[in-house]
Amino acid sequence: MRNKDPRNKEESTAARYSRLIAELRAGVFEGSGQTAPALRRAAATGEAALADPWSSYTAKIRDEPWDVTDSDIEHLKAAGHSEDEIFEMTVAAAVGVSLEALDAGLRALRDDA
Amino acid sequence: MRLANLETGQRKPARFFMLMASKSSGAEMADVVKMILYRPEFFGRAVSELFAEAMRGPSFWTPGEREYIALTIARLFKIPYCIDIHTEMIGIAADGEVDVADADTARPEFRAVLSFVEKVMRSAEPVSGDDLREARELGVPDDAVVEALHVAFVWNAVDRLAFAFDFKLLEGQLTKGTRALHQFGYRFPAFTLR
Repeated sequence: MRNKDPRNKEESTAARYSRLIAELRAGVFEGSGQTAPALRRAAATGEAALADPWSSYTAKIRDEPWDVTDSDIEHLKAAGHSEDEIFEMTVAAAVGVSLEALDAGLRALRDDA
Repeated sequence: MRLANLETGQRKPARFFMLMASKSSGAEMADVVKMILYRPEFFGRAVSELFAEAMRGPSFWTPGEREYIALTIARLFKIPYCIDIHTEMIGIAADGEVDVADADTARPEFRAVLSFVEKVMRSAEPVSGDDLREARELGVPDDAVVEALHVAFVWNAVDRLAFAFDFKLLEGQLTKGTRALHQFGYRFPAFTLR
């Protein structure tokens, strides 16, 4: 059922996706924005120390996104954060936790067990 | 949507596209598309490349099967916005190979990889090569697993953003918007992503 596609004939599936993921990472975690790239990388993993309200908000995006409410966003704005900052940190947390799952799946694929 | 910027903050070419598309379809542009067209250099441009590749690019899986993976992610999140869109999309893109009401009608290769992807999504349970044994016994190539994992990846991220920004379906968007997304293979005109 594999479709014939003339694009990038020499590029393997894994290489093609790894290039697309690298482009996504570059924009979200390295690109210019209203928030510092280090802050976005911290939002992605929750591992580095991140001050509140970012810490609790980005943890919610990673762990229970269904619980985000209007008041979470209002709280961030009341703390002086702009919509662009909220946009960037939300995307960083959502992409970060999804990358962790992707990497876990790809690791299992390399596992010869 | 919770951020006004995502409603109206797009650059002029994207706003022009949104206006023309909504005039021709009679429905307002979908929230997910508005988000992709907002500051595209940050997220939208790269994620739309991934969308087009994962959902409609060359693959072991049919477009209908890939939509079924997306639906499965939406069901895990219990997010009505995404469940409705992918159910509609399966009606358009699938040709009987998947049934939204019964996963067991799909080919065994697909069922084996879908259950692996579901386990990957439930991050509390670590996955290993053991979880791929059935798929491998059925002869599913590694590339097909890579492809399925990337379908799951894009929707894992986008479903979370749908919750955070509070995406809503408006009148006419489900049928017309979904059909347009399918027709253009999840691709947007290049000028809208600059």
